[in-house]
Amino acid sequence: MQADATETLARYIYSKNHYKASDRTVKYAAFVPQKDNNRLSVFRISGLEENKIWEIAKDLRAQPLLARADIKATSVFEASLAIERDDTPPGHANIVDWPEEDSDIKLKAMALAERATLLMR
Amino acid sequence: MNMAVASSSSNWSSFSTRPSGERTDHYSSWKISESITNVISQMRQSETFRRLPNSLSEVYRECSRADWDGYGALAITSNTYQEARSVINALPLSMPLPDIVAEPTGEIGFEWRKGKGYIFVVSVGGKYQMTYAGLFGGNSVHGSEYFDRTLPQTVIQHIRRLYS
Repeated sequence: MQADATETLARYIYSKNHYKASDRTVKYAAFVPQKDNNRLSVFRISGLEENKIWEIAKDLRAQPLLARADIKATSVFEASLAIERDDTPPGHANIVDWPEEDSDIKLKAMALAERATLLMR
Repeated sequence: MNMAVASSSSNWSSFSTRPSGERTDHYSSWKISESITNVISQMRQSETFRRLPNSLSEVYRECSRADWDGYGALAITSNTYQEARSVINALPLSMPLPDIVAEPTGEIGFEWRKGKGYIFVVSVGGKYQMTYAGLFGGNSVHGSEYFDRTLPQTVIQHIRRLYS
């Protein structure tokens, strides 16, 4: 199932290497998909309260949650990528349809990072 | 004697000596070359330029184990770290310094950012290959090049384009 273009997605960040606090930018690497399955894990957060948005990811990973990058679904579609909802856990989705070439993946990740908004924990 | 000083160790081919009346033997050429090497070496030891190796070491320390990003990232290997060091040594001194970024694929990226929508990234993964991508306002590029201690001209041109 696809996501609506007006939705907002959150990419949770657990590595300080994936954002720059001084100029509040998200690094492209935060949007590079996993090599083994070519998927990028995100959560659909439209309509959720701020504290609930942080709550979702608090205990998902072993690493402490540091920040998140919010991005509109429309930016994903403009990059010729797709969003696949799986709701496991609830609200979870993957950004899919990444190209095969590594450099092309990097370019799309850069395009997403440029459109994302950084929010610090 | 006129000299054209290369801005980088990767650009030694553009270094030239031109005798003007006086005789230049191998020894004096070697002395000049050594002097310039020393100057470049001193410049690379400067506070600003030392930031890069320090930053690289920090990234390597933090990301040399698997799953460092919480999403199953591949560990950065010592081969990749060494190749990234070669990139730093090959960077022209005249260029702005990049940020160093760990990628979930186990690669190390160098990111030059001029402003929103103007960004160029080149990365290495210990396989003698550079992958690059750039956004230049409405235009974009991406590709890959062979890398063995010398920065490919294509990459240099793209970085120059970013700041032109």
